[in-house]
Amino acid sequence: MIAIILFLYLCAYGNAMSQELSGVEPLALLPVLAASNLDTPETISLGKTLFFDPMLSGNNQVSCATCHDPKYGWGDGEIRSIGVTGVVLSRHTPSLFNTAYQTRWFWDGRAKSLESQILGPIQNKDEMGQDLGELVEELENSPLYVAMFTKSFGTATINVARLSAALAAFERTLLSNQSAFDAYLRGDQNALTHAEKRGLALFKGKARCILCHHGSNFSDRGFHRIGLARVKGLDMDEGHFSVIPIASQKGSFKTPSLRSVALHPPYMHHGGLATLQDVISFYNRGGDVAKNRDPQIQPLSLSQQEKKDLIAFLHSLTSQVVY
Amino acid sequence: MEAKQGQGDMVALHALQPTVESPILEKVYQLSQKGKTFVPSNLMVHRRATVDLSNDDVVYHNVFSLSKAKKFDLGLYPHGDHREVMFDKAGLVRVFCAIHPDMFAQVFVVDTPWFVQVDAGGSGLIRDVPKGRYDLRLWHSKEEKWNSYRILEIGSQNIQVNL
Repeated sequence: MIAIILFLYLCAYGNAMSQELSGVEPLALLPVLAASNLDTPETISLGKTLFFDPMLSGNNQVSCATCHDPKYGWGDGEIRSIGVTGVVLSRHTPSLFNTAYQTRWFWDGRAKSLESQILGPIQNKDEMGQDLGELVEELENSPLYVAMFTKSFGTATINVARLSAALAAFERTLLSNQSAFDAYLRGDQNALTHAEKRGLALFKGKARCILCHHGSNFSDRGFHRIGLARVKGLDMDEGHFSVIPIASQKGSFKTPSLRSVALHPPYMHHGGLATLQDVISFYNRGGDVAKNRDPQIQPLSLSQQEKKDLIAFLHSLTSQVVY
Repeated sequence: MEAKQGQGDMVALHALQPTVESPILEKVYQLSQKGKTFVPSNLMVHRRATVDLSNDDVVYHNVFSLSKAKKFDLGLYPHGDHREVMFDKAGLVRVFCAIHPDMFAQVFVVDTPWFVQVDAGGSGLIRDVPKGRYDLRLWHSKEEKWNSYRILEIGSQNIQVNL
């Protein structure tokens, strides 16, 4: 009787690990965005001008693009950046690729809309250090911006809502959806090399990546504590627990998209893993801190060749930077 | 008693005299985590009901609520596991997954054994209501509260209420 029960259990488990996994959306092409009514060519153009303009910071020296630089895959290549005060920030700059497809923003998920997220770094005293009232006044004194806001919104009113709407409209155009893997998904069997195909199989199987990095944007839109060691000199970072005060969320951070991931090292919320090789090695050993670690993180026993294949697959997710 | 109303609405009958004996309901309700959603997303139960929360996804979930009517944290649990929660206070309990914040369900806990969730066809049936006077209450989702709709005299005949 025990043997029969065990057999049935194994069948159920095997089934659960097959391709039709409930709760794990298949890797897929990104769906076309349902653009908000404000995303017109005019608002996108205004948002782009604002994005690259250091006038948005308190000392007029730091723009959004200082840390979200297209040359670095909409990140900055730094472990943790500095802003207007020169203070090193507590978290790594996330890439903006496909930010439109998120449902929570910031590493800890504290913003529920892109428009509200945008106002955070502008006002943060150590990031852009800007008073929004002063910023609106500065923009009102610029004939260029008065003209652009008028063209975008129909009237010359410049306010915080219009500012964030325009920036969000531009950021929603920062897409990674033209990779070799996308061509493969569209049916071109030759779009991936043999190594990349082996890496894809590992990604969905032995390496367990797909448990969190799934769906069209390679993210479960969730929060996990993956067993990262604390960084010396940084305060304990409670991550998503500061938003959802539930025990499992202590030290949990958002699952980032992996699209174009090779373009924006270093990795993790603290920027502590310098390369994709470091990331794969970290997961291969099952993380570094077992306490409160998400049970989905387990040692993987990947061979050197398997690690290389996985990295090859991650590189196949790179899309040209277009803006 | 048959009620007709728009889809997804909640109807509850509250006895207006203490002489009406309430049956003890033993039903265990199911609230599944499937496809990173709660199924069903709206669940109506009686006070002191037990709800079985099963994880039917291959990924872990962490179901919790911080609502006044019921606070609980079921912790992380994997595919195939279950946890039970007894809802001992009437009220609206908002249920989430701590890992996947897009997951959301509402458990409407009512302090009466006579209630119904109006189905997709816009109707619902409450059976075995003893004779007596009842306060028929409707859930108003905008106000997030129960409002009295009508006092009903229930006798030995079936009655239909068009809401």
